Amino acid sequence: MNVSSAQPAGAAARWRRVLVGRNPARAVVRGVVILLVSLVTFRWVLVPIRTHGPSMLPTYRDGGLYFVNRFAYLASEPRRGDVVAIRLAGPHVLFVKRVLALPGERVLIRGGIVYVDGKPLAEPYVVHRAQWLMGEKALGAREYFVAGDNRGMRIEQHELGAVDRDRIVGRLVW
Amino acid sequence: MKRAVGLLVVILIAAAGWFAWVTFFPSDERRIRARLDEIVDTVNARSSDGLSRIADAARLASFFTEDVTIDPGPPYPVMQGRDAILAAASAAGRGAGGFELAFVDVQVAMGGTGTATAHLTLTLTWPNVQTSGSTVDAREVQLALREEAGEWRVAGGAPVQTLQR
Repeated sequence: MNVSSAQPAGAAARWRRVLVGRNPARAVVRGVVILLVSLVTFRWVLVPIRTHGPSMLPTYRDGGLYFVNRFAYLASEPRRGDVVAIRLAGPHVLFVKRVLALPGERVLIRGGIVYVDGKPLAEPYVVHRAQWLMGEKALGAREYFVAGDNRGMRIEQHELGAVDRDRIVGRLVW
Repeated sequence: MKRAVGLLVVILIAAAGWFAWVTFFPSDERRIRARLDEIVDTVNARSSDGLSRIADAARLASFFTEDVTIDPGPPYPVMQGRDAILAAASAAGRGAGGFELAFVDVQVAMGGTGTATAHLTLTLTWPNVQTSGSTVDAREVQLALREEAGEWRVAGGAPVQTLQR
């Protein structure tokens, strides 16, 4: 009787030690610190996003969960080939696009091939290529030209174009 | 101790007073935000019986000025007047499975007397029959609002080009 009643008490003590450790006050502090670090990280640094739509296929699948590094461009500027998140009216709905051309460059699309300053752009991430056509566009001092990786879509159904630097909120990391 | 309790009571009364003031005398910005929420709720309600549908249509019409002009952007034509808006909303609602409207990241800027603008992201979510998931279309939109007979109404709307071709 004594043995059987002692076993649950011992198990409870073990579980309590696993969950809160030897010092409950320290466990609370640890929990609060973890909570704060997670909150700051996932709200302002690595922001989780869920993608909708086929425009970044096959690189990023529809419905996938990814993270935006909002600190990626604090010390440097977006580079060609980076996949970036672009804000619309605010931070809760974002476009995910790839940077194809940089400020000051000229970009045009002919036969589905992107030309930057007259030279065709090598794009190994593009699998299907429809016959897209877009006249030459000269980018301003703070403009980047972006498009999705899915070039098999009709160009009318695809969001692409020049975006102001201020709208780029970060780079996709996964 | 008595002083602390007194201070707490004063703070609670002040908070209740502020809450009552905000509730019963909302600012124009709050009224506009509430109005935009009402538009979303009405569009998403989609009543099934005939009488409720007529009531929903009348309610939806009340959110727009008589001379409202909405430019949905290419390839769609500009819509002028309440009737055109209602016809478009009705036609869109009849699509496969209907859609869900949302206004996200709403920013309201007050203009001159009785005018304001709202900058927001409009999202439409459709059920996708092929993937059995959903398709989301997001647009950045600028709405012009006007106060008429004490009510804020949408007087115009146009897309904002997030990406410039």
